[in-house]
Amino acid sequence: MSELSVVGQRVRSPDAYDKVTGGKGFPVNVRLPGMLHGKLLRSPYAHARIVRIDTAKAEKLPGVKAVLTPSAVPQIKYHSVFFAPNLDPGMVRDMLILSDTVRFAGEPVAAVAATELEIAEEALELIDVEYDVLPAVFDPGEAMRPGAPQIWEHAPNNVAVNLSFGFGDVEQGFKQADYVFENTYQTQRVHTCYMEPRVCVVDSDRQGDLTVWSSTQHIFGLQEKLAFALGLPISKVRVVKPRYIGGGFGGKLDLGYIEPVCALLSLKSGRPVRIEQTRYEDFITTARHPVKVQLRTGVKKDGTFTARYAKSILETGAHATHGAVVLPVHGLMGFLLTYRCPDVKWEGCAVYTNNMIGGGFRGYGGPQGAFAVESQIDEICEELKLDPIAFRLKNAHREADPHPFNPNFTLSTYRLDECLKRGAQEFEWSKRQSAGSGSGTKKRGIGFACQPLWVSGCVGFPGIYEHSGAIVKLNVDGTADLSIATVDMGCGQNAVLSQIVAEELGVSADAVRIAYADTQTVPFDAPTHASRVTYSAGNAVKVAAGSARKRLLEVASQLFGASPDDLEVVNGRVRLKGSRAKEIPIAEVVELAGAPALTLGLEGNQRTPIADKGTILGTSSLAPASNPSPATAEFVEVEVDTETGEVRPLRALFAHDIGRVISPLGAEGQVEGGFQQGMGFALMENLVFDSETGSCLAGDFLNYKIPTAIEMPGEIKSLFIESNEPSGPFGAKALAEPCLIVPAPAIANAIYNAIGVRVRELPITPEKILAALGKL
Amino acid sequence: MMRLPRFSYRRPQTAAEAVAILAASGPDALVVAGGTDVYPNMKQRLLRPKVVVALRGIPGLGQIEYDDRQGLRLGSMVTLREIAEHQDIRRLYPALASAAESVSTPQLRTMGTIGGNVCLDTRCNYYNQDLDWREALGFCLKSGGDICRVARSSPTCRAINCSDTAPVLQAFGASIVVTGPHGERRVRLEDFYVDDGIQRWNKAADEIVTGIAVPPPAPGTRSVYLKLRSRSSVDFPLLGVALVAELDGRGVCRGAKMVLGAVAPRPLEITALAEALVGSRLDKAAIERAARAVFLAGKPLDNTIATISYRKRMLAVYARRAIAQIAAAA
Repeated sequence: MSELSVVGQRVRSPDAYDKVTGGKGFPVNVRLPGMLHGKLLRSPYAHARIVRIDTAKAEKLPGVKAVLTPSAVPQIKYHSVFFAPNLDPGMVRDMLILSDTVRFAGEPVAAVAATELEIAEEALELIDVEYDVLPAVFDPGEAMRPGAPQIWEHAPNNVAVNLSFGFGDVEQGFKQADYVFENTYQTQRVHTCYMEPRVCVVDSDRQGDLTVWSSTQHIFGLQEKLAFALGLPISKVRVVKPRYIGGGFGGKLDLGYIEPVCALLSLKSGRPVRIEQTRYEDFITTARHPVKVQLRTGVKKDGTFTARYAKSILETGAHATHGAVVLPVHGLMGFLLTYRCPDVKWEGCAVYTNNMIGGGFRGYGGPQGAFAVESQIDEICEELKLDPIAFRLKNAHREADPHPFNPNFTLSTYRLDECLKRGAQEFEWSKRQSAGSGSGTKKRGIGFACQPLWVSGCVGFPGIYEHSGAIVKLNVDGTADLSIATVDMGCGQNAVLSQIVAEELGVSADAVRIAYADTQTVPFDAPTHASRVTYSAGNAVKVAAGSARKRLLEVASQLFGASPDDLEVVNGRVRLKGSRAKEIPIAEVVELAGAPALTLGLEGNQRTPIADKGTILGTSSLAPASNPSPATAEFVEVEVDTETGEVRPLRALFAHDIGRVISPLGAEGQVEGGFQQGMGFALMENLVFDSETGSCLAGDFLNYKIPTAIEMPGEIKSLFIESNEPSGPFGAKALAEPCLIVPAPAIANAIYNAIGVRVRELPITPEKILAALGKL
Repeated sequence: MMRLPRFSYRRPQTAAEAVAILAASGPDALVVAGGTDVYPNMKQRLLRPKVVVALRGIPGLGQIEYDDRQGLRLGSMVTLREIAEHQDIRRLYPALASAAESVSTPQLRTMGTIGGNVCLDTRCNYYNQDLDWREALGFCLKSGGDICRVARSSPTCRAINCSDTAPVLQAFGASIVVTGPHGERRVRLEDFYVDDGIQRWNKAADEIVTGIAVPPPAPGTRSVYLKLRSRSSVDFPLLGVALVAELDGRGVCRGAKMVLGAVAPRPLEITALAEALVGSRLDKAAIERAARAVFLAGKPLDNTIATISYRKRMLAVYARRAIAQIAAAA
C-alpha cells in the first residue's frame, strides 16, 4: 500500500463543535411552522383487552386537534426491525401501531395531538379507557410452563422463535472429553441510554405524501417499515437524513410507535406533528434481551475443546421484533463460532413475556454469549490449572483458516494471537497473582476476555440487507460533497467516511463535506449497525470517490495532453505522476469542466480548454464481497472492597485487530465508550420491572444506574493491531461492537482473580459479591 | 415524568410576606427554595400544589456567617455548593462540607440549598415512582392510600429521610431557624424531625425555614460523613453516617455523636454511641462496641434500590469506618 496522507490521521470530527453545542442537526431540534405536539396514552396494565375507549372529553379540550384510537388505525401486522425486509420469513410480524390488546405495561393505547404539549398531556387524562385485565407473566421460565398465561395465539408456551445450529456429533465429542463442565449464566435487561431521546416530526401534504424527521439509525428502514405499517406505497414516505443523532447503539434500529402515530395524526390534522419521548418512555422502548445461557463443555486434560453445547433462553418481551435476530446472532457469534471445536451444538428460543420489548443493542446477543463463554473458560482454566491465555490460543481460529460458518466470511487477516500476546505483555499479565491471594480489605485482581470472532457487516447472514451507495460530487472550489444515507450516530461515521473520500480523491479531510440527503436523493444504505459502516459503507464511498477521481483525471488529461493513467492527484492538485513541473488545482479542473463551452472574446467566440462538459462526480451502489472478522481481547484490573462488595475498575487495555485504523480519535472514543457501557452492564445497570405489575421501576437516570465519569477507570488504553485487511477500504475492518462485548466477562474474571469467588449473574452488584463471599 | 402541572407562582419580598401567603393558602401551598427536589416531584405528580411560594426574592437568606462565639449561621437559601466550598466550613465542620459536596451532581448543588436539603421530602421505592405504577399497584400511605407497603402493619409512613446534611447538622448539635406568624423560633434538629414519612417535621404549614445555626465546635472536635450509594455522584444515600467526636490531647474520646441518614423517616441518632466510645482511645474494642450499637439501632426497610440485608450489614461496616477515620485523623 502506498503512503496514506489522510487515513490514519487524528482528524477531528467535522461536526464535533456543532454537536457539543446542541447543534441544529439533531432531529430533536426540528421545529416546523404550525407544528402540533403529540402524546401517547399508555396502558398501566401489563396484559389487558381494551373494552371501550371514550375520547369525547379529550376531543373537546381546546387546543386538541386530533385523537387516535386503535379502531382508527390500520391493523396491518408488521415487524419493526429496519435491516430485514418486511416479509422476511425469519421475522415475526406481531406489531400493530395501536392494538385493542396490550401486552406490556406502557404499551400505547391511544394518542392525541394538540397545539401545546401541556394540552396534549391534559387531554390524555381525559381519555377514559375500560380495560379487561388479563393474567400476565413476567418470567420466561414461568412463561414456558404449561398453564402460563398465553400472550400470543401463534406462540404455544409463549415461544416466539426456536432455533438450533451445530456441527459434528456433540454427544460423541463429550465421550472424548477428560472433563465436562456445566454452568449457567444469566444476564439482565439494560438500556442503550442514548442521549437524544427517540423523537420525530412527521408532516403531510394534500397528496397524502409524508415527510419524516426522526432520530433514527436508518432512513431507508424507517421509510420501508413506516410505509408498510400504514399500508402506503413506499414512494409516499420520504425520510430526511439527520445530520447526526445523539446516540443510538442499536436502540434506534426499529420502527417505534411514535413515527406511525405522528403520521396518522398529521394526516388527520393536516399539520406537522412532533412526539418526543420522555426518558421514562425511552426506557420502556428498547433494551438488551436478558439471556440465560446453560453451557456444557468437554475438554481434554490439556485444555483442547472436544465438545461444546449451549442452550439459551432469550426473553423477547411482549413482541418478537429484534428477538428473532438477536437469538441466532447470539447463538452463532456469541457461542458457536467463537473457538475451534469439532463437535458443537447450540439450541435457543426467544420467549414472550409481558415485559417491555427487547431491542437492538451494540453487540446484538454477543455480550450475553461472551459473558457465559469467557467466564466459563476461566472457570475451566482455574479448575485444571491451565493458563487462560494459552487455553484460548490453543482453541482459537487461525489466520487464513476457512471461516467456520460461511464462505462470505473470511479470516484472511486475523490476529487474535497478537491481541492476546501484545495485550498481555503491555498489561503486565505475568504479574497476576493467584485468585483471592491478596491480603487486606481491598483486594485487586486482573482478568481478561476475548471476542474471538465478529463481523464487519452482515454479508453472509440470511434475511439482512447489506449494501451501500454513495455519490461524490466535486465542487468548483475544490471541495467534494459526499451524499450517502449512512447516519452518524455518534461513532464518528461522518469523519471516517470523509477521510476515505479525501484519501481516495487526494484532498484534505476538511475538503469533504457531508451533503444533506433524504430517501429520495441518495442510494440505499443498510443501517448504521453491525459494526459495518467503516468497512461496508466505507467500501462504497471509496468506489464512488475513486470513480469521481477517474472522471477528474479524464477531464484533466485534456489540459495536460497526457493519458489519464499518467496523472495523479496530490494535495488537491492534479499533476503528471511524480512530477511537480505542472500542477493544476482540482478547483480549476472542475471549473473548466463546468464552464460554458464558448466564451465571447474580442475575436469572436472561443472554446474553453475542456470540450467534455459536465459535473465531475462518481457514484456507487454495492455490497461488500466478504465479511472479514476482527478479533478482540480486553484486560482489566479491578479493586474489590471485601467489606462492602464494591468493585472499582482501575485500568483497562483493549487489544483489537481492527485492520487499518482510519480515524484513531474516533476508534479510541469507541473503545472508551464501549468500556463505559460494558462496565455498567457488568456492575450496576439493571432495567428493573415490578414483579407484580410489570411496571418499569428504573425509568430515569436516578434509578437506572449508569456509571458516571467518576466510576470510570483512570486509564483505558487502546492497542490497535493493524492487520491491513485486503478487502477493506485502505485495509480497514470492524471495531464498534466488540468494545462493549468484552468488558463484562473481563471484569467478571478480574473480580474472580481478586476475591476467588465467581458470580454468574449480571450485574455483579455489591450484594452479590458479599453473598458469594458468604457475608450476606 | 410529565410536564409541570399548572400552579400559581408567588415570589414574596420578605419572610413575613411569605408566611402570610402560606397562611392564606392553607395546605395547597408549597415552599420552594432551589427547586431540585420539589419540581421533579411535581413532574411525577407526587405533589400538586396550587400555590408555589419561592424564597428566592427574600433578601438575606443567602448569607454564611461564622464567629467563634456564635458558631455558624447559614441562611436557608445558601447553596450546597457554597457550603462545600466555604473555607471556614471546610476547616471547622468538614463533615458538613463533605455531606454538601456528596449531594447529587454539580449542577444540582449549584441550585440546591441547605434549607431545601434539610426539608428534603422523604423517599421510598413505593412512593417515588410514576403515577401509572403507583395507581396500578394501589396507592401507599404517602400517596393517599391506606397501607404502608414496606411495613404493612405500620400505622405511619416509613419513607426515609435521605438528606445528606441533616444527620451531620444534628451530630453538630445544630438548630433550625423557623419563621412563622409569631416571628422566629429555633428548634434543635432532633426536635424538628418526626418519625413519620408523611408528617416529617414539627413545623406548621405557615412556617418557613429561614436559617440554620450550628454551635462552634468544641476544642478537639473531629467530624466525618460517610455515604453509601451505588455511584459516586447523582445518587441519594443508601446509608449516611455522620459522626462528630471530641478527642483530647491524648487521643481519648471526650464526646461522640453519631446520626444515621436513609434508615428511618428522620435522621436516626445512635444513643448508645457515647457509652461505647467516650473514655476510650477509639481502640478496636471500642469500635466494635460502637459498631454493634449501630447495627442494633438501624432497622432499614425496603425503601431503596439496595436490599435490606445489605444495608443492615453496611451499618456496622460504615460505623467502623467512620470511627476509624476519626481515630486516624487524631
